[in-house]
Amino acid sequence: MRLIIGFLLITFLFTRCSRTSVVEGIIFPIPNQTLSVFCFLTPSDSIHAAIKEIRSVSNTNKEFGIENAEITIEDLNTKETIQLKHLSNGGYFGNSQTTFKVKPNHTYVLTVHSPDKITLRSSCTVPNQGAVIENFTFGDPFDDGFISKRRRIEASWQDVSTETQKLNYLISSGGKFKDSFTGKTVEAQPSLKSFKNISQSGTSLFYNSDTTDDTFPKFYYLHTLEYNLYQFEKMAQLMDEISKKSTSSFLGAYQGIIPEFTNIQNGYGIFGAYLTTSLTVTIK
Amino acid sequence: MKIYVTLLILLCCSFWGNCQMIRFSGKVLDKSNQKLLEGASIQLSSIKMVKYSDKTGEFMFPKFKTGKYSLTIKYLGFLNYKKILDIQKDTLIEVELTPFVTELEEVIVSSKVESSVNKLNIGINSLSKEQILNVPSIAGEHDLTRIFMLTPGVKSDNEGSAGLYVRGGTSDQNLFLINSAPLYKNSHLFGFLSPFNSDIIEKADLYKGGFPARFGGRLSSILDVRLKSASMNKFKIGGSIGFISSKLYAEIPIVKEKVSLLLAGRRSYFDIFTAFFNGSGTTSGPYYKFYDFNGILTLKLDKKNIIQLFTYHDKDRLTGAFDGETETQKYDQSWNSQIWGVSFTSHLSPIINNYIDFTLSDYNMDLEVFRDQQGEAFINKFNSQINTFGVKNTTEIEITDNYAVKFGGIYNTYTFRPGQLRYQGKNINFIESKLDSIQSKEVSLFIENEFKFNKWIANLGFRYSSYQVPNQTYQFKEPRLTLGYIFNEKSSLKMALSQMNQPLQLLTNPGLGFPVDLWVSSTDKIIPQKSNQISLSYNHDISQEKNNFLSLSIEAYYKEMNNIISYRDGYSSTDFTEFSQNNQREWDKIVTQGKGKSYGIEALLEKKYGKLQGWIGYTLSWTTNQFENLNLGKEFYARQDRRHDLSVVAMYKLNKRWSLNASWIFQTGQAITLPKAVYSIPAYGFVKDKFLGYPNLAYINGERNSYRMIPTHRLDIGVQRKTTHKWGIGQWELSLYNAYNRQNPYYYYIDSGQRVKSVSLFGIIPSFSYMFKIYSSK
Repeated sequence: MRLIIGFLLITFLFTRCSRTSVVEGIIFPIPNQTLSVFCFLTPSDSIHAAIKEIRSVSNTNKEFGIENAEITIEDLNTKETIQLKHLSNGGYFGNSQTTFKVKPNHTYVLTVHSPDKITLRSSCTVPNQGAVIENFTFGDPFDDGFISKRRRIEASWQDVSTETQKLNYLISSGGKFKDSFTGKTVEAQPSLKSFKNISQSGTSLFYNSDTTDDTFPKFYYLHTLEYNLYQFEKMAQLMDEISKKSTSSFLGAYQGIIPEFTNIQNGYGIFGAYLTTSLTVTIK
Repeated sequence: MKIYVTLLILLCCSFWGNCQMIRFSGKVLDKSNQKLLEGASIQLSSIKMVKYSDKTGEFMFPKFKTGKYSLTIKYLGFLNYKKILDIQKDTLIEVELTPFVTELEEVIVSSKVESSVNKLNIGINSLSKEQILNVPSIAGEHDLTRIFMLTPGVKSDNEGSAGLYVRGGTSDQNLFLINSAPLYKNSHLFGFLSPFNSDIIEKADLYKGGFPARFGGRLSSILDVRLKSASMNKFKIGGSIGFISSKLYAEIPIVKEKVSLLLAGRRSYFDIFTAFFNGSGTTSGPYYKFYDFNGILTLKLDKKNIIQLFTYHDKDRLTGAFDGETETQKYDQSWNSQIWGVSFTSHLSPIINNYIDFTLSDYNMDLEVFRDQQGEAFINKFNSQINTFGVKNTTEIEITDNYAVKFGGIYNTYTFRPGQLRYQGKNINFIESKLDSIQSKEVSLFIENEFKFNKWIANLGFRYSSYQVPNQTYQFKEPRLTLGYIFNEKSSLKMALSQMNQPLQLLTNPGLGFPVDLWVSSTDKIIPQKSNQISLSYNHDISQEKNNFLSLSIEAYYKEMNNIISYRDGYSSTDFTEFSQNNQREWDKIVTQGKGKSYGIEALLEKKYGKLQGWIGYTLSWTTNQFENLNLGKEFYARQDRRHDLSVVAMYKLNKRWSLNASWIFQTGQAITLPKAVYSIPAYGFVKDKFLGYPNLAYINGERNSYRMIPTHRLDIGVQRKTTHKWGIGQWELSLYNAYNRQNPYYYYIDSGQRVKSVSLFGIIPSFSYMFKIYSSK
C-alpha cells in the first residue's frame, strides 16, 4: 500500500509541472502591406488619427509611427476637405473642427499618402442619430465581498438603425468613486465596457452590469457606432481576450479564428464614426 | 504368557492397520457452470500416483493408509486447487475448480479470432472485449473510442477529445449506434470519454470504408455497438472502480431460459470530491457529474423468436452557485440523452432471419445563467434538442452456401429544436427568441447481395433514401460494392466503393470551450453532405499457427467529400446562446459549405494470440478542405490532417495472474492557423475623443492551417493482476498515462509578448482501478 501511495504521490508531483511552454523556431513571414491607420470621427472639437507600421510577429520591437504621412479627409456631402496636422511622435495626427465639422449622416473619405508606401483609402458614414438610454434601473446595495458595496444596474434603449445604415452600441462609464485605500473621492476616467455586457432582442438593447455604491454621480455614455467601427472594436476586444488566455478561463474564451476586420483599403486599421449620448446617475 | 500377549498385540495392530486402508474418490466440476471436467489431474502428496478425472468428472484412488495428505488438482484454464486433507475414512469429495480465464476475456466481441483473408471486411476496425480491457486505461477507463484511436485511419482532434476523426472526416460525420439506435450525444466529460460502458459491450465494429448498404446517414464512419444480453440461467454482478467513475452491472435471469434483465450504470465522482473540498460556504461548485444507465430486458418467446427491450439514459451536468445574503448566482448546464428501443428477432427458417427495430432517441442541452442581486435579477436560458423516431426491418436469406441476400427498409422522423433562448430582467419583459424548429422524414430501402464464386467474393449493395424537409425533398442513390479475390488461404486482395450522404448537420464550436453541439437539419439552402470513397486492401497472414498468428493488412483509400459544413470565421454557438448584438440566429447564414478530400495508406500488423498480443498500426494520409468563404477560397489542410500516425500496442501475459500492457503513439502535429503579422491597436477614448496609447495588439491571420503544432507522442503503460475469490473473479490495474510526461500540445496561442505558447492538458496520470465479477453459485 505504501508503495502505491508513494507511486501516486510522485506522479502527482509530476502532473503539477507547468503545462504551458513557449514554442521556439516558428518562422513568420514579412508582411506585404505595411501600414495601419486609425481615425475616429464624431462631432466634437477635434479629429484625431494615428498611423503605424505593421510588423512581423517575430519582430517584438515597438513599431514606428509614421510621421511624414499626408492624411486627408473629405466630406462627400459638402465636398470640403481637410488635411490633418502632425501632432506628436508615434504617428499622431489631428485637427480642430472649427472649419471642418463632422456631422451626422455625412459620409467621409479618408486618404493616406506616405512616402514609398501604397496609398490607403477608406470611407465611413456618421450615424444619423445617437440612441438615448430610456430606462435605467438599479437594485439595492449589496456587499461585493471585499470593501465596497455595489448595486446592480440595468439600462435599456431602442435601436436607431435605419434601412440604409446598421448601427451598434457600446457603453462607457465613469464618475466619482471612493478610493478604498486613501478614502478620498476621485474622478474615474470614462472607460469602455465589454461588448458582451450588451444584449439585444429585436430592436431592444440592454446593458446589464453593476457599479460601486459609494459616491455619486456616475456617468454613463451610450455610443452609437456605425457598423464597421463596432466590428473593429469587437475584434479588438476578442483578440485581447485571446492574448490573455493563460490568465483568463480558456474554456470560456472564443477559440476559433478571429478574422481580422478592417475597412482600410491596402492596409489595416479602422476609419469609423460614432455619436455619444450621456446619462448622469445620482442615487444618493 | 508374554509370547501370547505379544502375538495378540501384533495381531491387533495388524488387524487395525488393515482397517486403516481407506478409499479416496471424488468429482471435479467447473465452478462457473457446474459442468463436469474430464481430464483434471489429481495428486495426493506421498502417493506417487496421479489420477485423472473421467468423462463424468470422477476419479478414484486405490486404497491407501489414513493420514494427512496434500491434495492438488490441476486443469488447464482453471486455477490449481490445493488443500490439506486429514483422511481417516473412506472419503468422497466434490471439488469446484474456478475458471482462471475471466468471463470478460472469454467473450470474443468480434470475429478477430479468425483470419480476415477470406472475409469481406474491408475498412472495418473491430475490437474484442479482451483488447478493450487489456489496453492501458486512462484514469481507470477503458474507453472504446479512445482504443479505436489506436487503430489505423482513426484519429482524435486532440489529446483531450474522444471525438473520432475517421479518414479525414470530422467528428460530426460519425454515426454512433447503440443496439441499432442512433446516439446523438457522443461523449461524456466535455468530450473526454465516450458514452459506452465498456463492461457490457458485446460487439463493437467501426466501419470506415466499404460500408454495407444497411448503414447510411453519415459520411465518415458507423460505430455499431451491440450490448450483451443478460445470462438466462445465472445471476451475475460485475463492475469496476476507477479514478473517474465506477460502474456496476447485474445480469438477472427472471425466468430461467426465458426472460432475463441486464442493468448497468456508471457514475462519475467529481461532484462528490468537489463538494468535499468546497465545504459548506456560500460558494458551491463547480460541480460536475455524469452518469449513464443501460437496461436490456430479453424475452425468449421460443427457440425462434426473441424480443428485446432496451433503454439508455445519460446525463452530464455542470453547476456552480454563489449564494450570499444579498446576491445569488447560478450556472447550470446539462447534456442529456434518452433512448428507448424494442427489437424483434425471428429465425423464420434455417436460412431466413428477420430483425425489426423500433427506436426513440432524444438529445437535449440546457444552459441557464441566473443572477439575483437584491431583487435585480436576470435569467438567461438556452435549450436545444433533437427527437427522433425510427423503425427498421432487415431480412436475411442464405439462399445457397455461395449466395446470401439481406434487404430491408428504414423509416425515420426527426424533430429539430436547435435553440430556444430566454432572457428575463427585473424591468424587462420576458423575451423569447426561437431558432426555427424543423421536422423531417427519411425513408430508406437497401439490399445487399453476398456472393462467393471460386476465388471471388463480393457484396453488391444499393441503398436508396429520400429525405424530406419543408420545401425540399432530397433523394440519395448510393451504390455499395465490395469485391475480393482470394489468392490462397494466406492472402487476398479486396476493393470497396461506397457513396454516403448526410442530411443531418452538427454545429460544433471551433476549438475549446464547453461543448454546445447543435443538431440541425439540411434545408433547401444547406444541402446534405456527400462522399464517395474507394479503397483497396491487401491482406496477408504471415503466420497462421495459432500462438504465432500474425497478419498484415495494407489498405489504401481515396475519399471525396462535398457540401461539408463549417462555421464561418468569427461565429460560434454564442450566436445562439447569447443575446449579443448582431447575433445571427439563422444558422444557415453563419455556416459555409465546401468540399474536402482525404487519401492515404493504412497498415496494420497484428498478432492476435499467444502470450504476446498487440498490433502496430501506421497511417500516412492527407486531408484538405476548400470553402468559398474561408481562406479566400483557397484549399487548406484540415485540422485533422496528420501526415504520420503510428501506434504500437502490446499486451504480454507474464503468467496466469500477471500481465503487462503498453501503447505508444506518434502523430504529426495538428494543422493550425497562426498570424502572419501584427500591429498595435490604440486605446481610443470615445468620450474624450482622443488616443490613450497602444495597449493592445491585433493579429493578421496567415494562410489557414499553414502551421503545424509540434508532434504528439505518448507512452501509456499498465500492469494487471487477476485475482480469484470464492465469490468470483477480480482484476486490478495500475496504469500510467503519458508515462514520460510529454507535454503534448492541446492548443497554441500568442501571448501579449508576441510569443507563441503551447498549452498541454495532461501530464503523467497514474491511476488504479479494480474490476470484479461475482457469480451466483447456481
